[in-house]
Amino acid sequence: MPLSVKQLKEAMQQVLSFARALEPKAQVFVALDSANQAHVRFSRNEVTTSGEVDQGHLAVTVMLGQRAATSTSNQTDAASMKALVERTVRLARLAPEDPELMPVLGAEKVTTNDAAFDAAIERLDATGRAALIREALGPGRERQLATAGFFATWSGLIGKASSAGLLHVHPATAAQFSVTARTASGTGSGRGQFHGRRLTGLEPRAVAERACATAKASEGPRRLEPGRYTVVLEPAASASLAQALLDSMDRRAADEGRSFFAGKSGPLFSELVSLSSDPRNPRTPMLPFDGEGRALSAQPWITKGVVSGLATSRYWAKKSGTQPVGGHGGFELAGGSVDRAALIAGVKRGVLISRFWYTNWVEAQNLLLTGLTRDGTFLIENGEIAGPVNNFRFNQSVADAFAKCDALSTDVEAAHDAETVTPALRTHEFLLASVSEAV
Amino acid sequence: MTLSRRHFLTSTGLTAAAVLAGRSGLVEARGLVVDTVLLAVIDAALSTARAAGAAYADVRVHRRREENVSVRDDHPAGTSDSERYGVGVRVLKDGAWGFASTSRVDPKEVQLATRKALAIATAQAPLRQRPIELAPTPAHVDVWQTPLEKDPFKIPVADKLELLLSISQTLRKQKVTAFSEASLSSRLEWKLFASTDGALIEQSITRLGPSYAVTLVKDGDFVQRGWDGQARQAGWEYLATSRFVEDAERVAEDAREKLAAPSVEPGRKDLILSPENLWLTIHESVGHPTELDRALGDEANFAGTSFATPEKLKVLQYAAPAVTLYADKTTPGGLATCGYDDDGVKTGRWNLVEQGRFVGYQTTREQAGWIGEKASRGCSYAQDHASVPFQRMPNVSLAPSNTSLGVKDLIAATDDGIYVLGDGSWSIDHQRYNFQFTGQMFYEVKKGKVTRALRDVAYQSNTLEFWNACDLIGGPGEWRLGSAFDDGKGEPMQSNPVSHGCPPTRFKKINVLNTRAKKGA
Repeated sequence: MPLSVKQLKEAMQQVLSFARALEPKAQVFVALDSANQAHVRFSRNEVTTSGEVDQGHLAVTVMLGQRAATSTSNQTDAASMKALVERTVRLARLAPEDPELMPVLGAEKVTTNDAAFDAAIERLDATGRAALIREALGPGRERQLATAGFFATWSGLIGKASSAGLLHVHPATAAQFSVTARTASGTGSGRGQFHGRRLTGLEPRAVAERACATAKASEGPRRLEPGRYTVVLEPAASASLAQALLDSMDRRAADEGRSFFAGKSGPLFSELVSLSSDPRNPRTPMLPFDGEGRALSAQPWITKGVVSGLATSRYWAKKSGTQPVGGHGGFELAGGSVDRAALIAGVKRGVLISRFWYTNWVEAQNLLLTGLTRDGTFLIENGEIAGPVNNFRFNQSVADAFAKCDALSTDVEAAHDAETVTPALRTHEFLLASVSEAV
Repeated sequence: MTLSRRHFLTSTGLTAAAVLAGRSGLVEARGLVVDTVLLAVIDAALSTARAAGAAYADVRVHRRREENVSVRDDHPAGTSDSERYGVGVRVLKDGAWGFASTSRVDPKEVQLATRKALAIATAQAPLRQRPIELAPTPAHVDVWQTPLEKDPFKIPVADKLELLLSISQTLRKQKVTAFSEASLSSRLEWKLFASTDGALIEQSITRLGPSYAVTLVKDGDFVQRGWDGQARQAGWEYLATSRFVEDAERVAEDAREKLAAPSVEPGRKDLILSPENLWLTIHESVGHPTELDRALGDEANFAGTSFATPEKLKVLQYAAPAVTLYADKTTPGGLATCGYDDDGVKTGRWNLVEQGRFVGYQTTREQAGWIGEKASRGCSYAQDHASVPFQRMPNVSLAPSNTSLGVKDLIAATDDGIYVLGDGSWSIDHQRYNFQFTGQMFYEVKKGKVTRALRDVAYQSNTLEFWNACDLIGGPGEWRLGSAFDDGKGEPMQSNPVSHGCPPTRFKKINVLNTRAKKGA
């Protein structure tokens, strides 16, 4: 069983006491999570593995002046925690001074985000999970499509405490449900997915139906040559690009000259592009504090195409005379003004991309990202979907993709995780560099 | 305390079966250490599972320890020590798997976890269309551990930091702005496995991951050069043979050369790939496609499937006839090397591609029967006590040619090519056809000689086209291992440490891209 709120608080206080007894002047930071995780996996229309685990994660950082060390463990009995603290103190005493070390944070007020927790997830047992899986297995079995999928839940507490008076304990839950369907011919594939902090809205059969429908629609793709195309990216695909862009937005790297953002100002992206993180945004229910326990507020990253924030650590903020920025769990790429059909209707010749796979940076200077299209790639001709086409490897500057974006859908979707929503978007001259035979 | 196999068998009610199998008597395995609590934990899991009618059950007591020491420029950037310990119980009941784990290594907690696993199997069984069946395997009782001279966890952290700071200083001896990072990761995996088949196996695996990189910045331009060396299953003594310290000056010099190098002219060129580059290409284009669960669809919802489907076994010309690629969980120093897998199967070596022909898969006990094989290849692995064992990649390597060819010979034999050192960016499609890789250093080869360094190089190909374009394979003298500490697969995703060995090898007329071309790569 995961720890209760009371047990979690007591455990963190006990760790602080152990440290205080050994090193009264030490600054100490404690992070303790305790959760129940469960999953069911299926493929070829039957369950494969299923499990349930209780997970605890205790991390202790001890700072002696500018010397510091961190130790982690999953053991939360008193003797183990005491041993962990002793080990951490020993390591810290031996560590050279780190000039970048920042003091632990003190008490900060945060408002609990009720949207991050759902008792229904906490209550779900093996029988309940099996019932949901049974619903998802229906469409594939009925249509002779091979479906594979994954249902996972997380339910627990996240705690932070420090010797300076910081104390946060926050309950959280999450659920993800995804299904991939493949046709018997092996030439069609589709995916449906659900991400949420709550079970509300999870309809396993509908997730599977979506996967099956895309699989059938994408069956028997025709050959399309590589080249630069206008592309319409479904939310799962736009989320991949937006996440990559956000990951690259670091102030220190920019200030040190080793980033695309070094020395750049003014509009870098289309004025339609706005990206932000806000713990209070009901569409992105994230925790109200970051990994260090710092209270989070709304953070705009890109506002109408202009960079309005770069992630900044506490050390770099101090050094550069700015404020710490970032640490949010997710983000929202703001929707636009047209529906998804209109995105396609505005394309004379282009490609509709359902999602990307295996994205990886190729070149940091121009934010060149590579990856593959997957699970439904379609030719658009004269504003309509003309049929399925082969998959592609893309080699595309993410910066250029957002600079050439000329439309986003009004609706946003959690296609990436429970704390991130993105719309479908349209952009131009997107380099589909080589054909992938994969389906 | 050391207990006997007889004690173990008695306590789990397996004595009769073991006697019938002719393996009674005291354990012959040297050094098998099982304390009373662990013995009770094993008994709690297996006897509970058997009493409930499970067809099979296994229990893993699993401890992972990881120490990371890193520096940035002229100062430490973090020292951490982490440990995870617990028990995972897997049961096969009514034809379905159930799994549960606990971090409390206590018989009562493990009994509860076993009951939970049984309930999960019962709940999922109606959602199976075919019952799960396991290929038979001998019930091994044994101990296995990494051969090592110096335990890396016993080297003082201060010594490690001093070493890293010294390397970092060397890397930053530059006339332009330079940033450096260096780290050492030491990892210990200890596990005690027991099953209702009568297996009792203790293993201790030590891995060491050194790395560093330098970034140079000049006039709005920047390049990074990382060390070519690789993680290894070994003790601290590995550093002395790995050139970890000695290479720092060359890496610093390479970075300067790279910053000044001209951008590559794209086109089809012969590629000479160093082992420190090719290992990753082997991993993606041979290691993953020959996972049987992937080929049959079990990974379809995550990492994808594979072009190498069972009907192509012994038919598909995967590579040029000179190419033999093999799986081997016994390769000395390989990160995936161990004595037994997490099904309790003794590890071994077998061919995946033999003289160019696709001939084999990676399997577990559950999977062997899927392709009519009678025994598992021993590829079951779980990253920790809280993870379900499933098929994971063994060390997959390219056999050296029966020659004395080294990289100098390959360069001398090449008219128009690029010699690629080190690993960089990587990506491959979800059926393992289309891939694209970069590297660390690139050298133009013209008429048998290295003419100059190049930059902004990526190579893109198709797995079958690439391996069938292999025309020169180095000999055993320059065969080296490359490694990945954290290869991801599965849902929930688990990481698997794995290595790949190969000599310098040449591939004809591969598509080379320029990653900074205005018109696109």
